[in-house]
Amino acid sequence: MSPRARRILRFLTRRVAQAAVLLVCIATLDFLLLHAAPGDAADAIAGEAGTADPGYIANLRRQLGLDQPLPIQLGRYLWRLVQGDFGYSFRYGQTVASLILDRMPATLLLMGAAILFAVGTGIVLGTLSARFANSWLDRAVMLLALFFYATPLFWFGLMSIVLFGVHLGWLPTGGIYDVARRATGLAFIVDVARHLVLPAVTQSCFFLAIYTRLVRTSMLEAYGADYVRFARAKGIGEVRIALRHVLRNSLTPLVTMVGLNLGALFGGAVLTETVFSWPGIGRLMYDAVFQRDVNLLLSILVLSSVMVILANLVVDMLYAALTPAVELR
Amino acid sequence: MSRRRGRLYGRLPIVLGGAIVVVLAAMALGAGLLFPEDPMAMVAQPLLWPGQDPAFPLGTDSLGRDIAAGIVHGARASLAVGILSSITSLLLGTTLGALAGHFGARVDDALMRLCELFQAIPQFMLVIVLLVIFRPTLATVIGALAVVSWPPIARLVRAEFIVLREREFVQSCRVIGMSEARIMLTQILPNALPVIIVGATIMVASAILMEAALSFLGLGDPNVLTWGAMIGMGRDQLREAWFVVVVPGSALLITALGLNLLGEGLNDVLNPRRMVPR
Amino acid sequence: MVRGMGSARLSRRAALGGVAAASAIGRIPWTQASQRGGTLVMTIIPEPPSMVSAFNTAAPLTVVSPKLLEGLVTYDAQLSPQPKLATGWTIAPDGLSINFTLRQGVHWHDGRDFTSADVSFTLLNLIRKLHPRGRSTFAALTDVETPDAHTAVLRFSRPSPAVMSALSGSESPILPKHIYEIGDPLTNPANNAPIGTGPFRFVEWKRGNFIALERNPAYWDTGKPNLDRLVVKTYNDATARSAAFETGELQLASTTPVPLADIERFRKNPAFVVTDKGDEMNNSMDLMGFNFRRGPLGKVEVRQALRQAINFDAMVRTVWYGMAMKIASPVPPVVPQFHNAALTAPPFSLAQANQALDKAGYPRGADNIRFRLTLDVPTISDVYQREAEFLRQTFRQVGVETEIRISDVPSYLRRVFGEYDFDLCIMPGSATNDPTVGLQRYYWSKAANKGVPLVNAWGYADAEMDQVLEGAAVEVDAAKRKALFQRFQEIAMRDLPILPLGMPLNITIASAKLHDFMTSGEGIRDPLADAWLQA
Repeated sequence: MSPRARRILRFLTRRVAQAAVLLVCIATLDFLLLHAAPGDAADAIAGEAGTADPGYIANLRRQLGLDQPLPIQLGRYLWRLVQGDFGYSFRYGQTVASLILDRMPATLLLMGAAILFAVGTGIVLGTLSARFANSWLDRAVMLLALFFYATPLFWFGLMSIVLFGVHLGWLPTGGIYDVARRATGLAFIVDVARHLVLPAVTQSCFFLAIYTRLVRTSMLEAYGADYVRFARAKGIGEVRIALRHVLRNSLTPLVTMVGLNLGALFGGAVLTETVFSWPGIGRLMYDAVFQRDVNLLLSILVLSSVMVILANLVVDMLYAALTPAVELR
Repeated sequence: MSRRRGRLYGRLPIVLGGAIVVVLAAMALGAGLLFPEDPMAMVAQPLLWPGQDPAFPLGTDSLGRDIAAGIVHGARASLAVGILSSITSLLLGTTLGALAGHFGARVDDALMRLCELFQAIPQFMLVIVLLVIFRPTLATVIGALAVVSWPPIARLVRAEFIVLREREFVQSCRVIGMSEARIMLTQILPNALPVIIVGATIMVASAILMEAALSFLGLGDPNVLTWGAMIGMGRDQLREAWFVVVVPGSALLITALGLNLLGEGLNDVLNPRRMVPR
Repeated sequence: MVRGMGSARLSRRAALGGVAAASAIGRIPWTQASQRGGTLVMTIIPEPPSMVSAFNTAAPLTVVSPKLLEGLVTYDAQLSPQPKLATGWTIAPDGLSINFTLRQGVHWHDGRDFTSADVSFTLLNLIRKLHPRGRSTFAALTDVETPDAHTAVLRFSRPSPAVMSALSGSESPILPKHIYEIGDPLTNPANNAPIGTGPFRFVEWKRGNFIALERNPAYWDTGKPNLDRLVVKTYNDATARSAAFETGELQLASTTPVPLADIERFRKNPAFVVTDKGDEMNNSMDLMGFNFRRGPLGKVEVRQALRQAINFDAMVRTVWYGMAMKIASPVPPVVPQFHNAALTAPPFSLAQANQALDKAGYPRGADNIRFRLTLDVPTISDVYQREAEFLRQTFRQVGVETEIRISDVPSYLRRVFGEYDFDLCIMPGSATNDPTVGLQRYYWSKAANKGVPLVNAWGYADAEMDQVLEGAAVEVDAAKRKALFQRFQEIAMRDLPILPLGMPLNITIASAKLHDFMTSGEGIRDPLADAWLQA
């Protein structure tokens, strides 16, 4: 094995070990936090049922294992987690794993579309902005970016539903596909795409602003570099310069940023999923807090942490790969 | 000619951003003078449009409360949340980041792991869980926001301290026998300040927006009127009386815009590293 | 506010006119005959946690469950029992047994026959043991005899007149023995994919998205249901629902599905039908509880003074846009067989309230405040917050400073009912159509049980009240029972452990193309067997 490969292996082992410890800490912290919240799942279910029977509640607590002392509950949970068993959600009457699998695709679709849109638009706007720096176009784009960065997401979402969904009637007002008309094949894809437009654009606002500015900044730095002046001297066209030389340079920080954003996949989707009734994990997680559905919430939080840690790991490795000066410790 | 124009354009963000922030601060401080009554008092017919009644220039909400009073008092509440949570977060983040960046090794490792711990939990969800545990009041909202916002500042400050600790002026201070604490406080920190300041303005804006989102979801302090609470309670009138949502929403937008402009402008002035083509 | 007042007057008149007068939408004869076919898209708020209302009585469950599962009886517009799975019944004069004749030719969705064994198993093993309310309602049920496949005899250890009011498909659905006798009923997968006898069969459930049901071709009521498919779609946001109605995506929803401010627009639009009927079997009210253990609140004069300080007309206008009923007693007028019409509310008077508080020994201090209270509110809906706001303003005018504390449901339940750590609290309470089933738990001293939510937590105990409630629970004579409940209401409003704030109208919006969607007294819980869509 080459020394580089050995170094990478050592790096990976170290990081995975750290990640494992981190996950246990996260799971424990989340568990303690959830139990610090007043009331438990039995209270939530009883409140929902609108009822009042001591026997019913005692039964419920026993069923949920809530009558055990805290350390035992934590121990049981961690032990099951290590074996890959996410537990059972009493409120939904399903295993947590099946619930997550059910709702995960919707969130992935939403965030994926949002980030793709943000990256694409960010590159276009950032490039334009950098190319015509300090012109009215640049200022306009920067102002637009600022606007998207500063706008309250939920407000933007609501207003777009009212405008595009109701007044103009161009797009659906909620959900992921039209359940009354069960479209199949291509029609289904088109249906989902139509439903995806508003939520994805709303979700992407924030990222769009960041990516635009990021691309602009790094491209501006690149424009000042020697090799660009050299290319210009050689007579290579502006567009080619922009696309082949300058843009490629900006991709590194952009990819880094996207990687970090991907890690925060779930938490950011809560508001969008609520406003657009998008059946994703974000909303599931949010509801689980108010139902004190410890199994469900812990599992989603742990899963989310795994994604963040993974994303950080990938970004670090990518960064090291692209910038040989940085060593993997 | 073009250079002068360049200078003016260059200063625009600070000027505009600064103006917005000043107006906001004035509203927040003068709220008691401008609108001495309790902004949550139901004083008029509900859902008056702006301009319908000269006594209520921005109209009234669904409970008959003066929206203009709400905006001005809300400025105070929103700014308080934004500033106080940011200060707490800054203190925490700066201290931890400085220690980690300056002393490196184990301290650094520990801090990085702590940062990862906090950043691995989805920010918004952590805030919600904290508010559920401690019941939403202005104090708990500020605390919860501070708790989730410190990691980015800590990383930023750490990076600055790592770079600065190797500089010659720091070495020379060590040679003359200055204590590490004095070096950090009097030598390095002032040099890291520009980065911190820019980070701070962005942070205030984010805190204000996050508070709005929390109020929208019903997790704000019910005894204090903030812009987010106004939007949340006006959500039901979106179709019929959209101004109830648009007015505080615009206030939020302008505030966040102003703070970000200010941050950008300060960044340009304090960290002039940008290059411009030709 | 003119708009609000108009609708308030109209709906109040209609509501007080009695359920019979404003009878279910379906009773109005349509000139067209019903049509077969079509898919109905409805929504339930919030999405139900499961689909069988035998183990969880959360409101959304009681709406979706009856589409697939049925009870022994249904109820007509006067809330009298009508045949469903039982075609006839005889109540013994001593009240200790009820003999049900069951319907023939009924099949479960999986093809098996429905028999008395299913009734026996459900009532004895499921409803009596595991149903949140059923445990109390059927507490005296000792056995269900099944002399033949279509006869079931319920035997009681003491008369339980409330049982005949609790046999609808949403309250006590009959479940298949062959499915539930295996394993733990509470974790049986059939809870999320029910097998019942009802007009619709389960197809699939994509959580957070929709529930798909299809027509049951072997339904015992031949020719029904008219609809081919029924889809229950999930929407999280009231504005989104409003938009969905207007684009035709949504055709039916209850429990005031759109923002109150939008209702007027729907009323004026001929493409929609808006009604506030349909919740007469549930009657959800907003109540304010007083904690007797906290100083001033222990004195009835203080509680009555606070009541008198509230301008209920203004409250209905402001909080509910006029879409609520003022109620002078915990049994609302839409339950005419028990409602005490003689009770009236004392007139709104800030002066009298102030005087009463002075006399009770709580003069205003130097800061103009008599005493401070906290008001606990659960995060169930924005309306609660508005109520709290209104009350805070009101109480301030009589020198009582109120701090509002909002918490999510489990925290709220734990604090109020688990720790008794509250002064005032706002909560929802269902009066149902029988006070023994719905209201007793809030007033009966023996129902007080620290740690159990939604029972008497006020520290209230009155000997006569206990006597009246216990008597009414076992009284078989209808006239005597009514008299007992009249007295119950008098004591309830005299002692005021709970102040009924109002009964929000439960508004249902439907597409004008949908007909016959509320043909029984079950209203919004109608199984939709009769419903049909105009092409």
